[in-house]
Amino acid sequence: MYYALIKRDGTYVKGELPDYIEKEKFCIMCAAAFGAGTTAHKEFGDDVKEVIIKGEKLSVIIEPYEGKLLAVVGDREDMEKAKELVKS
Amino acid sequence: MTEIKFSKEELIKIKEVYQGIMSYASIGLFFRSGEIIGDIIAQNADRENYFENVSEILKEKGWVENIEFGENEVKVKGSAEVHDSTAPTCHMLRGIIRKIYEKYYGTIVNVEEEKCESKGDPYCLFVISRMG
Repeated sequence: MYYALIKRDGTYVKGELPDYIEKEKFCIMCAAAFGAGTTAHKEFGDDVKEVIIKGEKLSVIIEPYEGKLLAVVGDREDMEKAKELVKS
Repeated sequence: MTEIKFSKEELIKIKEVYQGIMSYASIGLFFRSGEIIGDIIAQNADRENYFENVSEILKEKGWVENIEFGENEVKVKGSAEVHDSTAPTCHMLRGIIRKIYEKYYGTIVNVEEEKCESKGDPYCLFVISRMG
């Protein structure tokens, strides 16, 4: 399971990502995906709880977390684990 | 090199489109765009009078009306990115400044815009801190 705590502007704060991932780029893409997803969803007058990018093998879940964003490469259980790791 | 000019009004309107779609993430993209511009400016600046040279380039390109480089802070008057706002707005300039200092110090630096004319401050103030 990989995760990243990200500022809303896409700045990496902390987390665990594989070495081959360019952190700065990955985080800004997550922030952009969340921002664009939120804007699209708000067209229907609803607030966004999470943005999920479903892949063939992996999924990325991005959700708001204490004024920032938490991105997890994994499933809902991994999201809960990531929250615990971020707190510690 | 071919140069394309944007008016301040055009730049602000383009930024509004990005902000309208991507919300806060657009700040990061503006910042990274600024880093690209800053990298090229820093590469082309004369090493002997580095900050004077960079200052002239930024004024000539219309990014600022005036800019004063200090060891840990930068004061700017008339940033092209200034418009009415409750938060700092000079994200591209912040990226430009970051690359200018990184080239100078040869290490990673963090740049925060602590004052901004957009918020009603008398000038924009960028605070530099070395990370490495």
